[in-house]
Amino acid sequence: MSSATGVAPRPPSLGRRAADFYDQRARSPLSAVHFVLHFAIAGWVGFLGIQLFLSIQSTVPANCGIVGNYLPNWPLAAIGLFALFVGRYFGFFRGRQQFPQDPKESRFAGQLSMALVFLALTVIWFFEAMGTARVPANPTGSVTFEPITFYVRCAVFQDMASNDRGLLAGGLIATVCFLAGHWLWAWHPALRNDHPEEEEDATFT
Amino acid sequence: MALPKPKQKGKAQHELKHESEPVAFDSDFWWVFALMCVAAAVAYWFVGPWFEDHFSVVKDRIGAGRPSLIVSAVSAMALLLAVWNARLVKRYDQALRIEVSPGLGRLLTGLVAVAVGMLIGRTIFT
Repeated sequence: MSSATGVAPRPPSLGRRAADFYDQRARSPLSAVHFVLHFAIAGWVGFLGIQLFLSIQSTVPANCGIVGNYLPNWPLAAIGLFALFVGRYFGFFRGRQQFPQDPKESRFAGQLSMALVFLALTVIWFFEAMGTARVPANPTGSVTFEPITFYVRCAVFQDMASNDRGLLAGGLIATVCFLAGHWLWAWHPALRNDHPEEEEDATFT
Repeated sequence: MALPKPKQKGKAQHELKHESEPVAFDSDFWWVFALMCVAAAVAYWFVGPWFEDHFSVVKDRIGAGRPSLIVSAVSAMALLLAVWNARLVKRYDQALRIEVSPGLGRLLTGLVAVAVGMLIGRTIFT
């Protein structure tokens, strides 16, 4: 589309679009907190990923069969459970107002992101099948693939035995559980009015 | 109880307008679920034997990897659906409605939580 002068208007800058997006979303201090924390989560996941990559360099795979007295580790389980519920109710900060529908491009990108998630899950579960079936990892069969939980237990052991005392493992477990609670089990106060008959059922009159 | 509204001819399910009247629960969930079941069956009866033959799985481990293969196949089907959904959004500005009724949703949520706790939590933390 061209303007009255025949010159196509310049598209808004990225900063302007971010500001507009913020204006649409952040209608209250609480939802502003929600907005900022959402971006902080992305940075936090990136930070943990770098820490994980660096720690893998110093991992000794030969020790993976040993878990010592580090498992079962109930504090880590409690951290994961707590983070799951924090993730579920994180939507409280979003407020109850109905937001305008996301633009088409945003929803398209969302669907492609889901496709990437399912692509990763397909590969991960195929690897899990190789682990549970103990597929040989070398020609002689002396080493086999292991289930993913074997590697998770190994990571917990290595981290607990190091100077970190489980800080990275706890951070990873909390982050994964938080994201699971937020994405897969989210409490959506803004969507509660979608089923008015349900609201009526829950009201004692 | 009101009868379900007849579907409009010449329009795909995803193209129908979803109005707010609680006449019928209009969802694409069940045929998507059926596709997932087909993927799971194919994974168990066809991909499983191929997998065990191809990777020389030892006799006492035959069948051990099939549950994971089923989840992998269901994920692959979900991948295809997500790509298709992206195409629907791009072309028609509308995506599939993959929803279940609230009661069934609560039941499935509970079952998933219990399954995740049993399958993952127990093996990692104990």
